[in-house]
Amino acid sequence: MARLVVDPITRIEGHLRIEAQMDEANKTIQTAYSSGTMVRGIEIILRGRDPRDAWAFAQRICGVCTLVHGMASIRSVENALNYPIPPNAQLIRNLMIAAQYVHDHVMHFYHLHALDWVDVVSALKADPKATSDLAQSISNYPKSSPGYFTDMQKKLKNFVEAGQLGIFAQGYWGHPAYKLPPEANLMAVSHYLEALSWQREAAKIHAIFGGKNPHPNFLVGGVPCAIDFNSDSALNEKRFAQVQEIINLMRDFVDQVYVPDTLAIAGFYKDWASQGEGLGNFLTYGDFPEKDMNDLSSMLIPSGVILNRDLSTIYPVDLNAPEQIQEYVAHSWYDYSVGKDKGLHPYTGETTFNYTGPTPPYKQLEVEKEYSWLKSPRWTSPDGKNHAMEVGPLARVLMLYAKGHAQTKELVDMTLNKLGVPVAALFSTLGRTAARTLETKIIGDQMQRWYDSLIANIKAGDTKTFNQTRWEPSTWPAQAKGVGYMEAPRGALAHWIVIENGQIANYQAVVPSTWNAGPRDVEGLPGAYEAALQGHTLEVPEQPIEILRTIHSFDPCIACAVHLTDVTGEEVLKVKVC
Amino acid sequence: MSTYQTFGSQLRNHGISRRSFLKFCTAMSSLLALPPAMIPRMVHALENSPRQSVIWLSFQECTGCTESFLRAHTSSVEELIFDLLSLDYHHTLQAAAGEAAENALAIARQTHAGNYILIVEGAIPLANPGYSTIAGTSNLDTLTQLARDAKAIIAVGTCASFGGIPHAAPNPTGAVSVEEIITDKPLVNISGCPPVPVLITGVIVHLLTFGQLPELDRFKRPATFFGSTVHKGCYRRPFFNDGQFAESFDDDGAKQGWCLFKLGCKGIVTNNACATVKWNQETSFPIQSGHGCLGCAEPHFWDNGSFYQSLYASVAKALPNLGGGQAVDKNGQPLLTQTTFAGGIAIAEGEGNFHQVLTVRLTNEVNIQGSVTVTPAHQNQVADILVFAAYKPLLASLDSPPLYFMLDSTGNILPWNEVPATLVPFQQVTLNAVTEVKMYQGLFIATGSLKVSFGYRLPDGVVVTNSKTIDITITE
Repeated sequence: MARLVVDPITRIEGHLRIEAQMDEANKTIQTAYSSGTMVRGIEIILRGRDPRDAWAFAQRICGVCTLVHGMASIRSVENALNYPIPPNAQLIRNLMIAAQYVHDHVMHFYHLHALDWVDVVSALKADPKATSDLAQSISNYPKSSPGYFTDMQKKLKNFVEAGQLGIFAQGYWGHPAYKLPPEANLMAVSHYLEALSWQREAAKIHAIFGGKNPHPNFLVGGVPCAIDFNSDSALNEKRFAQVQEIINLMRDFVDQVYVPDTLAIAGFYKDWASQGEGLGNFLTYGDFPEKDMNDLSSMLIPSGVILNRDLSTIYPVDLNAPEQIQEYVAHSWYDYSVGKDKGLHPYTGETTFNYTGPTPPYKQLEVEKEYSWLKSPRWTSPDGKNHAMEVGPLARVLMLYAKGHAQTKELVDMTLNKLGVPVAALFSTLGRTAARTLETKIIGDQMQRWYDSLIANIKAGDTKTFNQTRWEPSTWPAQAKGVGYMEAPRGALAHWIVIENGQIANYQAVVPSTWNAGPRDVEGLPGAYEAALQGHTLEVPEQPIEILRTIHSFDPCIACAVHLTDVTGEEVLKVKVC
Repeated sequence: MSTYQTFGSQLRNHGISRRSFLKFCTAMSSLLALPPAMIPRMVHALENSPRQSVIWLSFQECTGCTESFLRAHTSSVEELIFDLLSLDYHHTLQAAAGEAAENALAIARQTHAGNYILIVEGAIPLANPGYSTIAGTSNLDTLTQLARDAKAIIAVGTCASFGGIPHAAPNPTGAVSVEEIITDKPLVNISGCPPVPVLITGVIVHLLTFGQLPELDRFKRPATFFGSTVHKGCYRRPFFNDGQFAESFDDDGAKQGWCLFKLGCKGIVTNNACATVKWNQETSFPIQSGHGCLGCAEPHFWDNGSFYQSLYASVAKALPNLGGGQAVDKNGQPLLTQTTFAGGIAIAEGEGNFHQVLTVRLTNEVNIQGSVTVTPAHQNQVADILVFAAYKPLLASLDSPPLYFMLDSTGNILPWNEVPATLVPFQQVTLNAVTEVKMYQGLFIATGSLKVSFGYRLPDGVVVTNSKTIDITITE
C-alpha cells in the first residue's frame, strides 16, 4: 500500500498536509491523515496582557476570517466581566459578522474552491454566444452579453498564450474529473474575475465600522465608531447611505451570481452528492442575537448538536460544562501534565510544545504517533461517549433546517428539487458547498433588517455605541472567567479567558478548523477531514483532485486551527512574578 | 524571455487604452513621490517588460497580508496578477496543490533564476525546524534556498519585516524576521499588520521601473511611505494642537472627531501612510473610524504597552514634564530632536509625588525616575542609557564650576570629564516608544545641590538628554 502525500494543500488559509493510505488496486483511500504543520503560540503570548488588548492579538490568529477571533475575544472578556453592550453596538457587530460571511463565502467559492470544478483551459473552447445564453437562462445578472464573454475569453486567451500561466500554472487542466462544458467553464472563470473586484467593495463595510479590512478594529464594551448624523467625523447619514449601497451590492451578487452559479455547477457533479461527508455529527454554538449574547432564543443561528445524521434530536451544548468539550493531544505535538491520554476542558487546558515528528526535510509523517499541531476537540454526549464533530455551513444549515427555519427550508427544498436529489444528498461534499451558498443568502438577507433596526434606533435618538461602565480594570473582580463564542464562517468558534488581577491568566481558543481538521483522538476516532476522505476513489492518483474537492468543501483555515499553547500551573505563577 | 508578452502588449490586448495606462503611471509616480520627468521611464519600463515572476512564500503568518494585497485597487489585484506580474507560487491563490505546486515553484525558480522577486509573508521560527514546514521542508531551508536566486526580496507585513506577532513576548517559537536570516540580497520591509496594499503595489512598480528598490529608511522600509508619522498626516491633528481630546469612545468629543490621543492612539510614534493613502479605496482608516492607531508598522509594537494606554498617561501619571530634549552627534555638534523627557525626585516616606525641584535631607530615602518619549527614528535601537549630574557643595560660591559625576551599571558614582563620549552606560536597552529610566533609590551621601540629567546614546554616537534638569538640594 502506498502513501499519497498532498503538501501544500493550496487555496486555503495556512499550512495543511494530507496523507492518504491508498488501496492501490482500487485507487481508493483507506485511511486519511490531516496535519497542521505550523505553530505560533498566540495563547502563550496573550498571557499577562490587558484583556481589553486581547482582541488585537487573537485577531491575528487569522487574516482571512479577519473578524472572527477579534469578535470571539471581546465577547469572552464581556462574558467574564458581565459587561453589557449597547443595542447599536450589537447591530453593528451583526452587520460586520454578516459582511464577513458574504465576503468570505463568495471568495471561497470562486477563488479557493471553483478551480476544483472549473477547468480554466477548457473555457478557451467555449462559444461566447452559447455562454451568454447559458448565463441568461439562470440569472438576470447584467454582465451576460455575448460581447462580454467574448472579451473575457479574449483576455483569458491572451493570458494563456503569453506563456506565463502564473497562478494557473500546473493546474490539473484536462483532468477527466472535470465535467463542465466549455461554456459553463467560461462563465465561471468570468465570475472568478468579477468576484475579485466585487470583494474589494464588499470589504468596505469593515472599513467604515472598523477603520480597515483586513483586521478591522474592535472594542470591548461596544464598537469604536461613534454615531452622529450631523457630524463630519462620525457615522453620519452619508456613511450609512454608503453602507446601504454596499449591502445592496453584496446581496445582488449573491442572488445574481453566487447562488445561480452554485446550482448550475452542482448540476454537473451530482456524483459528489453521495460522498465526502464523513462523521455525520454536527455542532453549532449559535450567533446573531437580536439584543445581546444572553438573548439565546433570539439568535438567528441556533446552537445544538446533531448525532448520526438524526435531525429529529437536537442535543443542547454548554460551553462552560467541563464534561462536554475537551481537547485531546494523543496524536498532536503537545504534552499534557495529566498524561497524553486525557482530555482537558479549555478553562483548565494546558499545552506544552513537544515536536516529536520527523526532522525536516521529511517525506512522510509517523501517523501512528503524533502527526499534527492541531489538537482533537471532542464533544461528549449525555451517555458519556466522545464524538468528533463537523462544524460550519453544513452544520448550521442542518440545524436551521431541523429547527424548521422557514427560509432555510424553502432554499434547501428548492435546491434539492432543482438538482433532483434527496435530503440525504446534504450529507456530502456537494451538500457542504451548497450549504455555504444557501447560508450566505440567508445571512445576507438579514443584513437589511439589522441595518433598518440600526437606523430606526438612531432616528429614535439612541446613538450609544459604547458602554463605559466596566472599562476601567478597577471595576473588575480580582478573578473572572468567561467564554466568547460565535458562528464564524467556517463554523463554531469559542475563546475561553481567565482574568486575574486585571490580566490574562489563561486564554484558550477552540476554533472551527480544529474541530474539522484535527487528528485522531486517543480512541483512534478520526477528525472530520479524515473521515470525509475515507473511501474516495482517485481517478488519477498523481493528480488527486478528489482530495482537494472534499477538503476545500470545508474551507480550511489552518492558522486558526493551530495556535494553541496554554498554561501549566507553573507558568501562570511565572507570569505573576513578572 | 522573448516568448513572453510584455505588460504593455497585454494591456493593449485587454483593451486597456494607452490613456488609462498613462493615468495609472501618473498615479503611481505621484504615490511614489517621483518627479514627473520619471513618468516616461515608468511607461517605457512597464510597456516593455515581460510579466515579472513573483514567488510568494507563506511562513508563520495569518494570510492577512495576502488578503490586503487582494484589496489592491491602484492598480487592481486583477491587473496585478493577470497583467503586471506572474504569480508563479502563492499558496492561497494558485490552482496547483501538493506535488504540482512544488513543480510550479521549481519551474519558476529555474526559468527566472536571478530575476524573480521573492515576497515573504510571515516570520520564520528558529527554535525548532518542525514548528513550521511546507512539503516537509522547514521554513528556514525554504527561505535560504529561494533567496539565493532572487533578484530582490520584499518582506510583506510586520511578521516578515520584524518578527511580528510570533515574535511578541515571550516568542514561544523563536520567530525572526527575514532580514535576520538573509543579509546578502536587496531587501525591503513593507511593515504593517497588514500593510496598506498600495504600498506593496508601489514598491513592485518602482522595482519594475528602475530595476532597484526605492530609498529606504533605517528599518529598510520605503522612505516615501514611512517617512512621516500617522499623526502628522492625521485630519484630527488640529484638535491635538488645540488640546481637544475624546475622553470616551462615544462622548461628544468622539462624535466631533476630536483627537484620540488620550484613548491610546499611537499615531504620534508610528511611521506609516494610513492617514494619507487610507484603506479600502480611501474609505477610512482606523482613526477615522474612532479607534486609536495600534502602531502596527513599528517593530515590536505588540510589546510597547496597552493599546488603550495613552502615551501621555504613562509619562505624566507621576513624573513632571521636562520638555523637549537636546541632542548632539558623536562630534558634539548639536542636532534637532523630537524626543521628550519627564522625570523627578520623590521622597519615599513623603506623599510619594515626584517633583522637578525639591529639597531633601540626608536621612530621606529618595526615588529618582525618568521617562523618555523616544522619537520614532530612534526607537528599537539598542542604546546606552546615561545618567549624570552636576554637583556643587552647599557652601560653594555661586560662580564656582560644578563637579560632574555619572552612574555606572552597578550604581557606582564615578567622576566625569563632561565629554559625552566618555559617559559610561547605566543600562543597555532597546529603546521603546516610551522608555522608563529608574535612576536611583536610597539615601544621598553628602549635602549639596544636584542637577540630574539622563538620556540615551545611540550606536552611531548620537547622545540625547533632557535640557531641563531635575534639581535637588540636599541638606543635613
